[in-house]
Amino acid sequence: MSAFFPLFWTVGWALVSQVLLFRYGIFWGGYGLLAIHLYGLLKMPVGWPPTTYLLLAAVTGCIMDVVCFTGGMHLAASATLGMAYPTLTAAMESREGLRQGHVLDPFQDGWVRYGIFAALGMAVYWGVLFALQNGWSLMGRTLGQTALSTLLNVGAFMLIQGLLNRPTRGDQRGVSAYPWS
Amino acid sequence: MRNLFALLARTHRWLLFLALWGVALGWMNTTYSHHRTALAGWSLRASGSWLNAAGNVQEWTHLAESNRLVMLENARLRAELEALKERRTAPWQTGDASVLRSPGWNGSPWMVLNRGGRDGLAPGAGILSQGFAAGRIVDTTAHESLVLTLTHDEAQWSVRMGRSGQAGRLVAKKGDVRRAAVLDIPWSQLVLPGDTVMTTGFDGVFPADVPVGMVEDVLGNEADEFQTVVVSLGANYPGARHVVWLKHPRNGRLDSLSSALSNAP
Repeated sequence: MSAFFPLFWTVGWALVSQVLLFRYGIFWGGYGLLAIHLYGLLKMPVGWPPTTYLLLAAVTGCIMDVVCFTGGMHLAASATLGMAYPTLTAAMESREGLRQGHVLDPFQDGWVRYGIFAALGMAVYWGVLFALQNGWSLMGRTLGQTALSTLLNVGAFMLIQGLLNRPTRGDQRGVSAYPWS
Repeated sequence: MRNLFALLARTHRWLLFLALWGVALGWMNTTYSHHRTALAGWSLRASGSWLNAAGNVQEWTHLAESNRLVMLENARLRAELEALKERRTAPWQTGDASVLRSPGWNGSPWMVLNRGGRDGLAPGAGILSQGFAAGRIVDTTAHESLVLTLTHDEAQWSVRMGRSGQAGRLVAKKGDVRRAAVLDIPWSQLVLPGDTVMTTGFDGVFPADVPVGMVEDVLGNEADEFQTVVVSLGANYPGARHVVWLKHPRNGRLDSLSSALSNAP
């Protein structure tokens, strides 16, 4: 149960910041959109029952739809992400495997592994959302929006990881936030 | 019931996922007019496709009956067409009949129809099969008719090459229900495979210019005076199920005229 509280805290601030601030983050003529609330969803620990991922993601998407008046698009995309989440985490397993309760983190799992994990999750989410929004006739636009928005958000998530999820040494001093620093 | 619950428990995550998608799509349907229109379009297409498939299945079950009705209609229209051709003069009487026996691979050249004297048929009436000359009635009972077909090897029929070519005798090839030979066509008449062979109307069985078949081959050599034309018969005897009969009141008078005792030299 203790694992829920850090997750809820992360999902909560990510959701609020998305609704209040980052929902206006629209770049490149609508091809790059920010979805910071997914930063919280991608912090769901490994080893939970799959239905829990589905429900948690669906509730988050539902809140987004209610607050942003997007009429079910975030719900469909979030439910799909929640459904695919166990598969995504299983795909990111290292040779040693993932222990129960592990949260994918660039400082523990590596920047590349975390980047791929975030990109896959974002691609699922944006793919569904833009496909529903554009329809079959604008499939090219859907693919472009999915690719650019995924890249934008992966970059944003890595930035947030470095800013907020910086690990500390035993003496409470920070270590390097980014690979190059 | 326990198995049902076990199935639901096994698939509950997928069911929940589908339910969430259903809610999401329903929500979108009420929010966006574009999506509502698209959903209505898909729904109409899906229901139309389903109804079409169901209709096809139903039609397939009635295919044999539909086919029979179409063939009857076809025979009736051909009969009507022959009547229209002769409207200005005394018209040919026509009608349709079903085939009870037909020349096949057993070698029999006879055809039996399900119409007889009670239906207005009499010996001498011509028979068309799928628009092609097929034979003539030689005997009738009250409800059946016996037809001498073009495949009888002792019968001869008056035909010509095309509408205005040379006339000759059509003679069947024994045992062959698909081909016959046209004799007495001089070499001066150019005959090519694919040419249509028509009736002359001289025998009184058929009106003139009824198709008999198509030229398949030309036999003989230049030393002969005449060529032999192999004809692929148009009447499909093994497959015929309905035919048209043709009768002209003048034929009876002509027959009695030509067989009168006063004609004896």
